[in-house]
Amino acid sequence: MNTKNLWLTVAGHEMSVKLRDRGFIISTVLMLAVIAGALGFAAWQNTREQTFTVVTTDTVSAQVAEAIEPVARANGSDARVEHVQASDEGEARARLADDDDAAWLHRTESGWVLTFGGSSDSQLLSYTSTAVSQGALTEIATQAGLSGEQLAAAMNVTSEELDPNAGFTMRGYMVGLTFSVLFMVSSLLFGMQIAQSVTGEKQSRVIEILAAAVPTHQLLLGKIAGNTLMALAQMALYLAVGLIGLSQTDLGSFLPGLSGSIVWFLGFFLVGFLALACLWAAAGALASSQEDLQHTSQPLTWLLMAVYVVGFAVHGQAQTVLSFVPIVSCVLMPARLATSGVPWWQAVIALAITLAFVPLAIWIGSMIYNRSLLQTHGRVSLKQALGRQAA
Amino acid sequence: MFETRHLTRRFGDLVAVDDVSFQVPDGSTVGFIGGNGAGKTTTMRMIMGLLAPDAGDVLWNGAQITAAERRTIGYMPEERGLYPKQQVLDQLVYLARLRGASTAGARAEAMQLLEAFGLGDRAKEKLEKLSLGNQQRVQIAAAVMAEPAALILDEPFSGLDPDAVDSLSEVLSTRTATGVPLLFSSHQLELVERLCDRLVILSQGRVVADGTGEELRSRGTARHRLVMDTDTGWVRDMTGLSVLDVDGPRALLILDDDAARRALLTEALARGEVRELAEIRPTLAEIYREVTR
Repeated sequence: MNTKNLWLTVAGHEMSVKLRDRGFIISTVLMLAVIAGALGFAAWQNTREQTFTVVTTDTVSAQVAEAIEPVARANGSDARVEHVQASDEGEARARLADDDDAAWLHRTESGWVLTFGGSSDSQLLSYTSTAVSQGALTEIATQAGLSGEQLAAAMNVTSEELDPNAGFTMRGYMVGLTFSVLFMVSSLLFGMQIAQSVTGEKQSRVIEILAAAVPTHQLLLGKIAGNTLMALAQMALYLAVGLIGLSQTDLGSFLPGLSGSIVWFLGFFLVGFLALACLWAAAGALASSQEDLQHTSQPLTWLLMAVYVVGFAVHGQAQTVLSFVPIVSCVLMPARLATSGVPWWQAVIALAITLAFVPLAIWIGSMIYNRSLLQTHGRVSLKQALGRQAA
Repeated sequence: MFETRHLTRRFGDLVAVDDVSFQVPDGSTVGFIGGNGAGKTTTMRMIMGLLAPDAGDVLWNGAQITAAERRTIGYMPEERGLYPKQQVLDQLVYLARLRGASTAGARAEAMQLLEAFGLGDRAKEKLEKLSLGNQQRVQIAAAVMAEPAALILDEPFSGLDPDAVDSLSEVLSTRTATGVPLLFSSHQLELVERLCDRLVILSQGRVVADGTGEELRSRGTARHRLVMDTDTGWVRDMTGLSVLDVDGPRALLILDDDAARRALLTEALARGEVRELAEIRPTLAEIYREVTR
């Protein structure tokens, strides 16, 4: 009998089991809903116009009220400010009683007062006080003989960065964080599933039947192939939904710059996941029950946590160096590609180093797997697994 | 045909299997008998290649068995286990495909076996929903599927009701009828005697008896029972025999040879009516107790 292609049967079985697993389907749909929901909310927030109503009863206040909306716009807000002129205090108060979002701007001896119909709004208060002080300054400037432009120049503050490509940037941080979270969550989830499926076969003893029928390396290969394909497909699905969603928001302008690094990320994810998959299977083989798995998978959990933290916490030169280290590079190199001008050959080198790491991981992983697979009583220690001759 | 030659396995200081040699010829059913810890499971796992022997060989048609040949053996391990959360039919098809069956062929065969075991309407259920006895039937189905070249079943009958025992033995005999050698272990001696062509009795890792039921019996000490219409106390004065028990008209004896039997019969006929003079065949249980003592 030809056993060379048995891994395909194993891989197919792994995938069909996963696709029919209610827990897997529900968690995937939920995750998609969360992504779509978060982006939808952001888009909605973006398009939603906040409208304030400012009621005034005198002409000076009316002038200030008219200046509030431009101030808000200058501060990057889309809020609209509607100005309503009331004939007297009684009418203004009646208006406030009707409308919680309305505020009455008026002047007293001690200063300006903004009376809110509902609870006070700090944003409107801030825009209004800026408008008031601008009005006052303009008046003083005119008296002092300064032009509007001169005044604006005297008051204007903008920001700039010495070197936008160096060190910490918010955008780099966000991209690094996103890749880190995706890599950690996905490899932890799927890695754990590989380990659980191996342990499950040991725990239910079906492994004796499997091992009698299939060479163990074919079994391992099939498991890894099936689960890696599922992980990659799920990751691509999340990213696709995320990107479509993102393109509907203001952040869509980032996309053209990101798409290249996302493709790189998928490539790195595939290679990095492959390397880890074998080690996950080994962690599963070391355990005899799901309870043991907590212990045997701990080194991998720590590794992924470290990658996660490094992914968004490390910047500058350290990031450059670490972006060539296997596994960590899966997160850092795509993040660097997304944020600064990294030549493509650096990415290729990082990918090649990780690729070179894969056979090593597979070798160690499959050795542990083969030697521990049929030890169905109790937990097998790493020392035992690596020191013992195959049973 | 497969056989073991001088198979030995130690666990620390314990010699679990000690120089075990026996054959399972084509088309024959060999019963593997022994108490708990006698080494049956360890021997079977070594034949299946799941455990490496410290010494000795497993032969397949006279030559060292290969991994490819092992893969054609239908195996039911002592510690039962399939996929609890997967459908009965699906996992049978999967396991048969791993042994080289086509999907369609595996599906048809699985349904046929499930029908034979009375589980035809439960093919789509998850295994864990079935009772333990029914899970055991599925386990057996998994072992005999995909035209195995040999069958090695560890305690296939334990936990089965009489109906299931019958349907299983029927399924097994259709396999052996096509020339498949079958080795199975059991504690149920009557069952083994009924089903097996040969018996291998293991005790503390060693083969203490190997042969057909008939051969094993004849190896045991034959006893004779004499029943008359009068008291049989006089047998105590006869030579060439030893008396095990005398109870009025009944006596239980061990005869040294045929001459002793003739002498006994002649004497008995002279003393009265002989109702019975018969050899009492030892039961397998008695043989078992004798050889494993």
